[in-house]
Amino acid sequence: MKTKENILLDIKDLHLWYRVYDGYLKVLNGVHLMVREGERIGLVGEAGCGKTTTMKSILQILPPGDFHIPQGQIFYKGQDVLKMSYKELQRLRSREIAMIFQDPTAALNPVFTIGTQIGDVIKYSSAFEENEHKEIIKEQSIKVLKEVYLPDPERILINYPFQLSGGMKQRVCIALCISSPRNLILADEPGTSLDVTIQDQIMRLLNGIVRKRNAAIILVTHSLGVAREMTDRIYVMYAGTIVETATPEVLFKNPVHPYTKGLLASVPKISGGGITKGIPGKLPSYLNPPSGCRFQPRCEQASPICSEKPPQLFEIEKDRLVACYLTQR
Amino acid sequence: MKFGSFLLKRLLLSIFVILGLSILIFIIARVVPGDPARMTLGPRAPEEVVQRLRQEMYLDKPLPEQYFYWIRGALSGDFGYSLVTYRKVSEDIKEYLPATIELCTFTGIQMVIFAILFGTLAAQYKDTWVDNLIRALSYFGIAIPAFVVAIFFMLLFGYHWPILPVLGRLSSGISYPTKITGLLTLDSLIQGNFVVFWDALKHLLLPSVALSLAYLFQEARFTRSSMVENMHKDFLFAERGYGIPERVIMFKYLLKPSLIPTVSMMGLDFSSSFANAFLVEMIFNWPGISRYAISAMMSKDLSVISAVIIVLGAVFVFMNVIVDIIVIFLDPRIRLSTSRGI
Amino acid sequence: MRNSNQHNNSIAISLVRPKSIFWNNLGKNWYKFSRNKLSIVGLVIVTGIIISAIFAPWITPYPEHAGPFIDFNNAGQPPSLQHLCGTDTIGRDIFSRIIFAYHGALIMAFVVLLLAAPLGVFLGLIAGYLRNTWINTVIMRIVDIFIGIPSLILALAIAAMLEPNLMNSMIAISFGWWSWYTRLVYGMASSIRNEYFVIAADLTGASKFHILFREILPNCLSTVFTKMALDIGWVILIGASLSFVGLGEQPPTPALGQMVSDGAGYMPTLWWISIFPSLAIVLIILGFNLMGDGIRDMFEAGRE
Repeated sequence: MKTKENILLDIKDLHLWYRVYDGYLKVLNGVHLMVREGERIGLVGEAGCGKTTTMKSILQILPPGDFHIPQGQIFYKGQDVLKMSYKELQRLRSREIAMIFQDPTAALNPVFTIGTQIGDVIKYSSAFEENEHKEIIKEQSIKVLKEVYLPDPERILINYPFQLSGGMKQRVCIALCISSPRNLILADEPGTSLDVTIQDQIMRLLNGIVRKRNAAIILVTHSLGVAREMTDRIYVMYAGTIVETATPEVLFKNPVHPYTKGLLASVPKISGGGITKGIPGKLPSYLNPPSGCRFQPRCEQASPICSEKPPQLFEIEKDRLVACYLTQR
Repeated sequence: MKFGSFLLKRLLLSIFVILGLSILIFIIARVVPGDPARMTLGPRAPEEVVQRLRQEMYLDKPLPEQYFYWIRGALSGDFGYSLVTYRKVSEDIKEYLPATIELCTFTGIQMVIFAILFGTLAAQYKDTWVDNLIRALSYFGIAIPAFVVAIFFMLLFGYHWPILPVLGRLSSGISYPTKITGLLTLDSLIQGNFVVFWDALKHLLLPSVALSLAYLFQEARFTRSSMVENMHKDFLFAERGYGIPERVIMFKYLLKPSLIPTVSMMGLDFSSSFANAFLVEMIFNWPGISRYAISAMMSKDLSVISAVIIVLGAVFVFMNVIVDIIVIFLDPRIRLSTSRGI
Repeated sequence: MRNSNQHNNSIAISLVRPKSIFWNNLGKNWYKFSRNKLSIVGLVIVTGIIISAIFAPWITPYPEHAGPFIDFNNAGQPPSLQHLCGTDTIGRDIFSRIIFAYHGALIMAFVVLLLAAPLGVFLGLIAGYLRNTWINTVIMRIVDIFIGIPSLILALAIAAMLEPNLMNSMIAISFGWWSWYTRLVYGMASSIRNEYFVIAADLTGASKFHILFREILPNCLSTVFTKMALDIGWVILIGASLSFVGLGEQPPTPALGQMVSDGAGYMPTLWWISIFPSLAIVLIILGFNLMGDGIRDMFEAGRE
C-alpha cells in the first residue's frame, strides 16, 4: 500500500534568473511544487514556460555560471537541495532522484558505448557501494535493459548511441534512471522527439516501471491528454509560475484559473466544434516581465489588482491551489 | 574490412598528393631562370664541359622526359648531387633527417603533454586565475615566433645563465654513439651509454622548447575551447545528474570527445614543426634537414630543394594519414561509418 | 548553422545582405566583441600600429634611416632618449626602422590575404556546389596537394627560387595560402547547398550564379572573415621568418625578421639590435591575434 502522506519533494517559492546581455531573464517567478512518495505528478505548460529549468534546478544541473537564485527553497526529504554539499548532492543524484531528458540523442555521450555509460552509472551509484566487479555490473546492466524491454541487451551494451533508433535511445535513458532504485523520477517530455506510437509505448513503459518500483514521478509535458491519463495530480505552469494545481478529474471538469480554462478550451475535440479559440497574445518577455500576475496581459478577467502584485497560490480545497485574485475575493 | 578499404584509399590519396607535389616542385624548379649546369660548374668552366653536363643532366630534353628521369632517380633514392656539399643528396638527407626527427619528436611529446595539461586546467578552472594565467601565456606563446624564442634562449642561456647548452646536439668532447637509428637519445639508451644520453637530452631541451611553444599554447587554447564547448552539452549534465562523480566526468566523459578535434591539430602541428624547425636549427646550430634545406635555398641548389620538399611533403602527408587513423580510433562515429565513404 | 536558420524563414527570394545585417546589429556585435577585454587591447594595438605605419614618414623621428643611410658616428648606441630603441651598427635609428618595417609587414599581410582569399573562396564555392563533377574532383585534389605542404616550406621554396623582394615573397606566401580557404568554403558550401532555401531558389529558377553568390556565399562570409582576421598574424609570422633568412624586403628597406637576424650576431653586447625588432614582431602578431579572437567572438555564437 502506498503511503501518500510522506512528502518527498517540496519546492517553495523558487525564483531563478539568468544573466544575459540586456539584463536578467527572470525565468522562474515563484514555483511551488509538492510531491509525495509514490505520487505521479504532471507538470503542464507551454514550451518555454520554465518546466525544464525547474527540473534541472532540482538536481542542480543547470549550466554553470550565469544563473542566480534570489529566493526559494527546494526541500527533498526535509533537506534544502540548494544548500547541499557536493557529497550530499552526489548521493541525491545517484540514489534518490534521476532525470529523463527530452532529447535522448543529446543525453547520451556519443563517443562511449552504452555499456560504458550504464556501467559507470551503476558503478558510482552508492547503492552498490562502488562495486568494481565488472561481471556484476554487466549483469545489472543487462537486467535493467531487459526491464525497458530492449531486445538483445548484450548487443546494445557494445553499441554506440548513434547506432540506436530514437525509441531505443529513450529506453536506454529510462534504463539509466532505474539502474539503481530511485524514489523520484523527473521525466522531461519523454518521447516528444519521437513519433506518436513510440511515444505511447514509452509512456506506458514508464508508467509500468513507476508503479512497479513505487517511485514518484514528475511528468513534464505540454500534452494535456498525457497528463490526464498518467498522473494523480497536475500542476499547471505559465511563464515561470505555478498557476493552478488539482487532480486531473477536478482540473478538467472545473478549471478555475483563466489560463487553465483557456488551455482546456484550446484542445480540439474529436466530437467536433471546429478550430478552437485559443488564447490571444503570447508569453511575456522574461527580461521585463509584467509586474503582478504574469498572465494578466492576456487575461480577459483581469482587474487592476492583477497588475500590481503577483497572486500567491491559495488553497481552495485540499490539494487544490490556484494563484489568481479571482478566487481570493 | 571497412577500415582497411578506408586506409587504402587514404594511402592512395597520399601517394597521389606526393606525386602531384613532385610535379609542382619540378616545374617550378625548371621554370626558374638560371642554368643548373652552369651553376654546378661555376662561371669559369669552359662551355663544352658545361654542355656535356647539360646533356648528362638531361637539360636539353623536353620537360616531361626530364621529370621522368628525375622521378626514376628519386624512387631509387637518387636525388642527384648537392651543389654545396658535393655529396649525394640522399647521403645528406640520411645524415640530417634523424636529427630533425629527434628534435620534432621531442617537440611533439612536449606539445601533447602540456597542451592537454594546460587546456584541461584552463577549462576546469574556467574564469579563475588559473584560466586567466594560462590564457595570457597562450596569447604570448602564440605571438612569439620560434626564432624569437630561440634568440632569447641564446641570450639567456648562452650568456647570462649557462646551465643549458645552446649549440649542436652534443657537447664537444663527447663522441657520438654507434649509429642505429640516428636518434641520439634512442641509440645511446639502447647501448646503455647514459653519459651520451644525458648530454643529448640536455641539448635537445632548449631547441625543442623554442619550437614547441607556439604550437603548445595554440593547442592548449583549442583543447580548452573544445572542452568548454562540450561542457555545455546535455549529456554531461545527464551524466552528472545520474550521480557520476565530477572527476570521472572531467577526465573521462569530457576529455575524450574534446580531444578528438585537438588530435587532428596536434598531428598537423607535428608535421609543420618539421618545417618550422629550420629557424631553430639555424640558431642552435642543429644539424638537421631544415637547416640543410635553407642553405640549399640560399644557394639555389635545386636538386636539394626539390628533394627536401618531397621528403618533407611525404612526412607531412603520411603524418596526416596517421592522424586520421588515430581520430578514427577515438571517434566511433567515423570509425563505424567509413563504409559510407568519405 | 546559426545563419541558415535565420534564412530558412525567408525562403526563395532571400537576397540576404550580410553587410546590412552586420551594421544593423553593430551594437550587439560590438558587445560580443568587447566581452573579452583582450580583444579591445588587440584592437587598440592594431589601430596604433596601422596608424603609425601609414603615417610613418611623418611621425617617426628619423624617417630617412629607413632608406640608404649611414652614420658611423652614431653606430651601436644603446637605447636613449634620442633613439628609443638604440641604433644599429650602421647608425640607423631602430625605432624608426621598426615602424617602417611594420608598414611592409602590413602591406604583405593585406596583399596576401586579398590575393589568396578571394581566389580560394571562389574555387571553394564552385567545388562545393558542383559536387560529383570532374571540376570538383580536380579542384579538391589540387587543394590536397597544396595543403599537403607546410605553408612555410612552400613559401620558402618559392621565394628562394625567385628574386628576393617583397613582391615575390608575397606571391610565394599566397601561392599555397588560397588552398585553406578553398577547403573551408568547400566544406561549408557542400552542406549549405542542401539547405531548404537553396533548393527553393533552385526550384524557382534562380541561375547557378545567383545561387552561388547570393544564397551560399553570404552564409560563408562570416566564417571567411573570421579566418582572414586570424590569418593576418600567421602571414606576418611567415613573412618575418622569410625576411629572417633574407627573402622578402631587401636592405636597406627594413623588415622585421631581417632586423632580428642582423642583430643576432652582435648578441649579447649590442642586444637591442635584435631584441627590439623581436618585441615588435611579438607585438604586432599579438595585436592581430587578440583582435582576431574578438572578431571570431563577434561572428560565432557561444564560444568560451
